[in-house]
Amino acid sequence: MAELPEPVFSYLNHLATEQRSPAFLLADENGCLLGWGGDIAEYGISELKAGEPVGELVYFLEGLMPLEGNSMIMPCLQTESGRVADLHLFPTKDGDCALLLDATLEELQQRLMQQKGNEASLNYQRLTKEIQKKEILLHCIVHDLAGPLMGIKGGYELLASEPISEQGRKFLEIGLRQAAKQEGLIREILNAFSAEVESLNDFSVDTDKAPDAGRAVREVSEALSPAFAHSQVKLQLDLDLREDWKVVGEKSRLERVISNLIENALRYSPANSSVTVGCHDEGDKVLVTIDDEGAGIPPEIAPTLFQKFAQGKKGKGKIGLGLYFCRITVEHWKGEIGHSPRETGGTRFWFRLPRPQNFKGNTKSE
Amino acid sequence: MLQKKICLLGAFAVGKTSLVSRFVKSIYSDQYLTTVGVKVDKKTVTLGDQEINLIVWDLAGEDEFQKVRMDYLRGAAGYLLVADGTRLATLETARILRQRVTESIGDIPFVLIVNKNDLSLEWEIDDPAIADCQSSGCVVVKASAKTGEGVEEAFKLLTEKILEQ
Repeated sequence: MAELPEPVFSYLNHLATEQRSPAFLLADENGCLLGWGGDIAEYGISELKAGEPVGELVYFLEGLMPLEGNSMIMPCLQTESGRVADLHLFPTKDGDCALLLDATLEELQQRLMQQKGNEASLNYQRLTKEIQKKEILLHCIVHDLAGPLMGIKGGYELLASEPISEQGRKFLEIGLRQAAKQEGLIREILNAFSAEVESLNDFSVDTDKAPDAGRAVREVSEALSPAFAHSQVKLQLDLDLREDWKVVGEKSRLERVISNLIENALRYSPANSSVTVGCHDEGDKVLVTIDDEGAGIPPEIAPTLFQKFAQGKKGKGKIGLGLYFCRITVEHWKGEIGHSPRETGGTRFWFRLPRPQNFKGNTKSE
Repeated sequence: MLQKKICLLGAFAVGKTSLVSRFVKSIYSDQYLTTVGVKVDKKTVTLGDQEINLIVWDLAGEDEFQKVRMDYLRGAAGYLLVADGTRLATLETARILRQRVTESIGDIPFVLIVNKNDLSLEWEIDDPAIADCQSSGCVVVKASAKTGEGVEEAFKLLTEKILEQ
């Protein structure tokens, strides 16, 4: 260390002795008091007696001495007297030394900052909890809305079997269509909320129980084939079902993810175009792709497509929770999801999930 | 008189200082005041016919800005790990702190206090989570610095464990 010139040394000495109220205690190799000095009374220390164990005389030194050759600093130690000191413990040739330097001001400054930081952190946690509570409440309300709707729909269906005029039947069909639409919207909201709740739940990383993405694609495609036929859009599969497409996840939610993505592709596909769904081997991962030949995603909505309530300008009768559901589900399984424009036109939606035998997530498994 | 140093450790705002205030001075305040460094108090407890002077080190809570300094635990005979029943993450912090203490000074007696039992309707730490802790060798006490419930019990349990050593 470079030698300090006398004025600097004096200044430092002044800082320590005048502004930090130094006090010290010296103990022998058995932890018994040898001597003391400095502003010892400032720290509420009195009635010292040489030869007695330091821990019995100065309660906050209990267990600390002898030092056994170790040095340590214990910053901002506040004693019963209310005084705050940095406690320096170090061995010397004369014995173990406990040096107290006043730190009242430093403690105060640090406490003020720490208080603000901790309060902000607590407020954030409280707000997050409050939002979760409100979302659950909203979920309950939406769920309750579904009950009467079922009654209305049932009533319409019964009415349809009664003899009514041609005009009346037209009105009835409008009512039924609107009820079905309302039912679809409610289901979409419930799916998204239940995914958020379910995201806290377990899922399978066991190879025997893990869902097979290829089979899920086939089953969902079969279920959606009437809708494709109705829209005159061709649905084709690009995958070998004899291969192993097992992925981390849960079967019904995986099917819902695939179903949402295929339905989304159908919604934006023109008549006489195709939607192609494929599974691709990526070693320890499986990539599932859904390619459409639509107009592509408008750049203004592309960055927020997987966020809650995101939707295109046309809306297409949806409220923008389907893709959000897909994202939170896939990410919960430590996968990735995205979209990209296709060179030949249209959009590719894709998601990638780990195979169960390679899963290294930190979420509890079944 | 026998004298033992004990420490309180846990995440920030779990109520360590309130537990010490309740135990040492029988007082409680709803106002949250963060601790910087460490506050040292003392209290004499009686177990059977034996009086023990407890030197209580209330350590600043662990948060994203500061880690608990293990130097403060030098010479401790035992410690109280404190979690906040309304914040599940504080139980994980307690688990991590327990691991760090064991690595630093070895396996010394400890008791886990799950504080804020007066807010039991808002608890995120449920009975299965507590049972998990118990099965991993923790003695768990549900307590409330506000009402005083479980506070004396937790300190006495720790003292008993220390004396059994």
